[in-house]
Amino acid sequence: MTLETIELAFEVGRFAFMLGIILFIARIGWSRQLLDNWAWRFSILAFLLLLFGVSINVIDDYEVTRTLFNWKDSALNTFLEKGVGYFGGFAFMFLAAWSWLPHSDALRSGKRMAEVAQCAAERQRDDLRKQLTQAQKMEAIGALTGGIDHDFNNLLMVIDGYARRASDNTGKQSIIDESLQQVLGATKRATALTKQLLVFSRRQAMEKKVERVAVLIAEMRGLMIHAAGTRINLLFEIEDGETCIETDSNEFSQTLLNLTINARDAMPDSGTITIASKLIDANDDGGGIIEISVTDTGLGMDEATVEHIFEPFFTTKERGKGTGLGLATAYGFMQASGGDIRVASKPGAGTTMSLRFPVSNLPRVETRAEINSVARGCGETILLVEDNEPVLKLIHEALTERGYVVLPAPSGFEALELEMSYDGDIDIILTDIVMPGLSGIEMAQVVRSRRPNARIIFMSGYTDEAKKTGQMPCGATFLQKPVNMIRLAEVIRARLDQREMLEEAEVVRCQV
Amino acid sequence: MPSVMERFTDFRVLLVEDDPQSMNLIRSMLNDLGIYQIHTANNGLKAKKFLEDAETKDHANVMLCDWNMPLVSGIDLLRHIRHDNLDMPFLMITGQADEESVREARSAGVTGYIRKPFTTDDLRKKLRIVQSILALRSTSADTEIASTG
Repeated sequence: MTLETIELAFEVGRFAFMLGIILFIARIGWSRQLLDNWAWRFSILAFLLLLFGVSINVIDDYEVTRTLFNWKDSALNTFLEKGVGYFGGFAFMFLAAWSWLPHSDALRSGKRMAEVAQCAAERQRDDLRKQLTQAQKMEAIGALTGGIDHDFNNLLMVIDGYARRASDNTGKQSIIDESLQQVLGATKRATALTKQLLVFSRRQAMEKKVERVAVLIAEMRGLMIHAAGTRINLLFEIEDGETCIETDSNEFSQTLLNLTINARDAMPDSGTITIASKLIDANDDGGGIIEISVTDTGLGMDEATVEHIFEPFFTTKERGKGTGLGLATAYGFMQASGGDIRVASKPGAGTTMSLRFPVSNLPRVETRAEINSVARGCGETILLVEDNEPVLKLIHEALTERGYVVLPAPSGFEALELEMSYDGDIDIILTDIVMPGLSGIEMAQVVRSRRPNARIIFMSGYTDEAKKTGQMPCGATFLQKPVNMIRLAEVIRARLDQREMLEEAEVVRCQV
Repeated sequence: MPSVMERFTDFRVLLVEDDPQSMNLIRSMLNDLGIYQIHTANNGLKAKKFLEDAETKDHANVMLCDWNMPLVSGIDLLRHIRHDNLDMPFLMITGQADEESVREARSAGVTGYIRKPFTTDDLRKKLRIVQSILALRSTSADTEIASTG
């Protein structure tokens, strides 16, 4: 062996060792295909060349090479010999490094493990995604019920508080009056709340009417002041007193209240909420757009938040405080009203939410107060049938107080017994629909068969069931429960007077 | 009163009463009112069978039932038949007329009650109401048949 050969071997060894390390590091990235085919083929080829090269070098004086290939002793010869040596040494060391590295099987199992791990990770990711979706759903439901819970508790608190206040101040008529008004207002809101739930679950149609904006806002004034709390200053800037819009007053109130509550929550310490209405784009023909805005001096919102505020279940309030439905509902309501809702906000500069309604030129129907003043009885007889005894008692008392003669019955059969033994006229049959035994519809039909002039008013909490039966007698009026006594008195009076004012009440029209 | 007797002729009564004497009395009262299609059961189980048997179940269109019976009481029977969606008029004969039990019967779907002791005239009043219900149901059934046909 010459010194040259030893040097060469060293050089080759160093080279191959480094390459081995590189391969070791890089092997993770190799596909199994490559390892199995290309690498092994390459290695075997390299091994053969190695044997060839080493054997040539060992012979030392290159005789074999020269004889074999008939090479001349030239630069090219040397290069080839060395090259073969290099290549062989490299291949040898490569294989050495390869055997030192984890073996092909181990690699393969490693790959398999990696694949299994990857598969498991993907599955886990899918599971997590599902869990997240479910969690979001649950959170939505939780937030929803939490919010309703909260609203109802507030209403109960109002009712309880004012009822106590009234009973504590029995001598002071003004306090009692004010307290009772508050209680009535709260029950009205509670009714509206359950109605809202119905809207949510059944997509109940809106009851659009022509309403004066100033009146709508004035009606909400007390409630908004109440909602804003004592920390917050509430300003009203109602510009136009006569402008009417076509809207559902309940939903309008709810929307306005939601905006007020949002404004309040944006001002944790104190501040001012301005409720303003002004005509914009007024036309000569009386049309145009009226803008009702709620402005706060609170925290404001960044652009990212503003982008999402109308999305359902999006809320910046803490859990249980907001449902994330307020603005989504408001958005839907405004769409249905033919208007739109706009937001202007900057961090630190407060927020303005604006509701824009097209101005309505349609004539306005009588207000509730106007009807209320005449909604009294003049000794007319009402056959009242209701299986829920407290409700029966309540309606009985309310109608007696308003000047009606009431025949109360807790079931259809008892109503018929009363009716049979009653000699006078029966003007109105006021009955629940769903009752065990004999339904209100059947009972009313039996009475009507004997007393064709009796007018029928049905009350029920179940709209769909009642309408589905299709058995409601012609001309009967349907009232959705819960019914407040004022509304009931209005409807009774209207039925007695044969007036066509029945807004919410539906008259059964028959196809003959 | 011949007209009254005429009016109740379409009544087919299932009378459920465990006391033989009361049973006989009520039966004769019904006869006085012109009702002769009377089936009897002296306990709730028999009444149940009667109503479940395909052959006999259409033999009655009105039920007259005592509340207080051993094994299956009147209210049990009422619940059972309402559960089976039978809406036939069900008159409960009751001696205990406290508000609570009346409420119970009402929510179970009783049509009406007759308080013991009662006279033929009391029974007639109740049956007149039942008749108006039956008449209504038969006309609305006719209308339904007419409209579907």
